[in-house]
Amino acid sequence: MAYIWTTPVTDRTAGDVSAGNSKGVLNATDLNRIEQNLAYIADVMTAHGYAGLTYSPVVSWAESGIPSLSHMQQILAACVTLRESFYYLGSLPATLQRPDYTAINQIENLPALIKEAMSRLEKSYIFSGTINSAGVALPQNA
Amino acid sequence: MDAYAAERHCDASAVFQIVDLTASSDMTPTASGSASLSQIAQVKNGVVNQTYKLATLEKDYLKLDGSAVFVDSGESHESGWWSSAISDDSGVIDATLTLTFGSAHSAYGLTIYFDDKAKEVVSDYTITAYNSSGTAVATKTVTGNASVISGTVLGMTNFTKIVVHFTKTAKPHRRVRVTEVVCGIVEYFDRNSISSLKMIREISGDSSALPISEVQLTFDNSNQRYNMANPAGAFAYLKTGLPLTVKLGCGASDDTIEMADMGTFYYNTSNSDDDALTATITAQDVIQYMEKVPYTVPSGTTTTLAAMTTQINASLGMTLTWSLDSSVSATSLTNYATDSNVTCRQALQEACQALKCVCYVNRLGVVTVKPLAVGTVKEILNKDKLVTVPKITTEEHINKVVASNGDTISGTYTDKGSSEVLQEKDVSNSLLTSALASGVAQWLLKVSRRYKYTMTGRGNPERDLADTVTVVDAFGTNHTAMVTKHTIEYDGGISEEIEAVSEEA
Repeated sequence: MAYIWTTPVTDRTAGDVSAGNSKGVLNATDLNRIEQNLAYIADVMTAHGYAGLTYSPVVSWAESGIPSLSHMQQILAACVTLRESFYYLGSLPATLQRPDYTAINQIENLPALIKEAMSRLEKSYIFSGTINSAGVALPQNA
Repeated sequence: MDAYAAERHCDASAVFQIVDLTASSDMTPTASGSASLSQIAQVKNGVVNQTYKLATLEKDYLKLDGSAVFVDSGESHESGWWSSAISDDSGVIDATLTLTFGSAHSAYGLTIYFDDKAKEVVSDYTITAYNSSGTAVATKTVTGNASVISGTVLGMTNFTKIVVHFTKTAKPHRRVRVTEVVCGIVEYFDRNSISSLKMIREISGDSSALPISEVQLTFDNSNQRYNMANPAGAFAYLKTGLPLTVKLGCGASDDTIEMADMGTFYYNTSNSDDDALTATITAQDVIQYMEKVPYTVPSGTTTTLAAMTTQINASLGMTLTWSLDSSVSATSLTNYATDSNVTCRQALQEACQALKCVCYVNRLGVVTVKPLAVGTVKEILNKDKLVTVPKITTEEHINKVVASNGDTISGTYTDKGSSEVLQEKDVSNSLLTSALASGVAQWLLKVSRRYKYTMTGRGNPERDLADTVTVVDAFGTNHTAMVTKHTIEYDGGISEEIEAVSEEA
């Protein structure tokens, strides 16, 4: 299944929490976005040759949903795996048992950082047969 | 607790449960639909607080301040019943909680405890009580509730089923979250509604009696709920055994007041003049029940304190919690004759005296039997903590005690100077054995020579019966003593009459 990337929310503040606005709470739409973005990044990295990065998200959370602690910790574990497979980008919370705005910012920010890095990597790829070393063109891979 | 702050702030609270005491154990709760974390059987387990503010995805509910907790379904926690239904944009919901009972009950009303951690409540709901024929015996619709504890007076008589239909949550997009349901009204009194509170707790130092501790609570009755003549009042539902739990607190400011549990007492009487704005409830500790119930004497010529407590529980038909000093619990006592006419209170009193112990009910409701002995000093009662100079007295001087079981067993102890006139005291105790009689006579004589300190203090709610204190007299001399009585009063401030006795001479 192809997952869609949705711009994450990574700039929640204590003021948002105090105000009780949409960034100060975690709704089903937020969790669906977090899950889907994680799966999207896992797929992108897999397509670029990174191994063992499957994540099966739950993307159908509704307001009737009650995620378990185990499930939230799976989300955190997926973030840890992504980070360890790539570059050590960003910070992650130790647990999602009692999530605050910082923890959710970090969970949303990690896939965004990886996505940005992957994008830069793609732009730096060099076509085979175009690399020179000491004035000698390296042979194409047969 | 800062009980003696220079500028002291005091507080009092009390919880009085006008409830059907047997309804919860006879109740079977069912519901129109339950969420996955719901544990509907918990609505009758006596726990009125949620363990956590549980994390769920109801719209705009899960505030990202670290207060909401995700849990796994197998984790032990208190949730009560959570509806599967969620209210709409206007808060409208359709969820039902049905309570079915095995036998008919009567209650003054219904108290529902909503989620106290998340502060999520139902504003509108209808309670209907049915009798065994299916006829509605009482119904009432509540609107605009904003309280986590919602008590509704509706006078339900001989009901076997209660249906609570929840129609609107206080906030939109919320489940119904019911932690506990109580058949009755739970009255919460605080400093705004308490006019005065007086509590008397006492130990008999020689166990010649078994005092009953008592609390008198006078409170705002401007709603006339406690007037006997009020047909809609609570009087018809006031029965012996209704629990009254009391707390008192002190601190240097209102914000720093710490409350101390003063114990649970059980309803005894109430009164309210019809032209008065206050009513008074009198409640006593569990010893009151022992006064009215005959002690069923088991067979056998000897017994022990441990066996007697089991027998007292059986005689009362109650499961009292006991704390028996290990040095005396298995000591052999003479058993009563099976045709003895003795109350449970008298039996316990005589057992305590025969074992040279005292008995009192502690603040946790535990009936405690132990020797009264000096321990670690908990408090120094000096002029900073007392408002009167301690008065020191002794009992009439005796120099001989004869302790007998009124039959063949007796023991004597004499401590008489050669020039003294004989002053004899005879004590009869049916439970004495020949092995105990002389020792009890000696103990009673020594106890009679204790110094007794009587003083008025500023009041310390944390000090308990049998605590060891240092009493500083008018000459600055320190006396170690054990608290045997305190009469503590709250009327906006706290004051206390204290009695304490010295070690045995």
